[in-house]
Amino acid sequence: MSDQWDKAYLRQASSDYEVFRQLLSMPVPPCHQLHYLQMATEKLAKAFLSANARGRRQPNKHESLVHFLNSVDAHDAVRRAFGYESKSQQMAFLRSIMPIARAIEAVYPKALDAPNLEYPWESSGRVLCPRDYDFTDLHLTGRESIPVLRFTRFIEQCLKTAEAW
Amino acid sequence: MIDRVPFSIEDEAKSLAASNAEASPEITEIWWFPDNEEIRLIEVDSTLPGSDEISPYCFPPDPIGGVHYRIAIALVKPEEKALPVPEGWVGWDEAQRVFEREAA
Repeated sequence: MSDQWDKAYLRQASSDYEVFRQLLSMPVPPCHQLHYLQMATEKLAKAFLSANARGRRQPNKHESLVHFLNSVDAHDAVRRAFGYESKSQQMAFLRSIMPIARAIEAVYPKALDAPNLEYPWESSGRVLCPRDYDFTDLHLTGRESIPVLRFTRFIEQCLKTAEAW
Repeated sequence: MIDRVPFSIEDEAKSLAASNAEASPEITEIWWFPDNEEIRLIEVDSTLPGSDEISPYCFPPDPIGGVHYRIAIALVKPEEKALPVPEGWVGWDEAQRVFEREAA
């Protein structure tokens, strides 16, 4: 069995994240920007989880980001790269971005008739489409984006840290 | 054409900075780097993980949100103000502090 899944997850996460950054500067519906951010964060999380499991393949499920955030203290390289003077400072920051992580993880197309980034769903007799939907907790306009940008700053630091493996 | 936009880029930059500061209590300062075509802001937040570069996030204009220019926003820790500003931006000496949070 191959033990290089961590590097492959990371390579794809970096590529997905680059596309997210490009889409951010374009006037496209936010579902597309968020979809790439979602894919990047899922694979980044799997890269770290795989690295902690000797490079083994991770379960084929979407929910890995929140699990990774909850276990990030186990990753010494991440903790060092963050540059926090105390563990409590790091934990406070992680708590502050957790709502965004949960919101991103919640919009996978895992359930019928629930808002998600990819497929139409039905609500109160109306069929709704991701491209027309306002993902309230995940605003990405210049005026309302700061909570998401604080989260993406964390993602970028994790990518840089992992690329130094 | 940018020169037909009847909105002041400085006014919109300050309005955008005020919105961002209100939305994120972690932000302690916001600096506006003047430019004729793009609103350029650096926002200081001491709680962020460290970085070795200032890398702005770029957004298209958002007329519905009252912003008629392209937007570039970078988040930095206080000590990262010593890093080079993004290429093509004016220096810190020409930037204007448009928000400063009063100490609690």
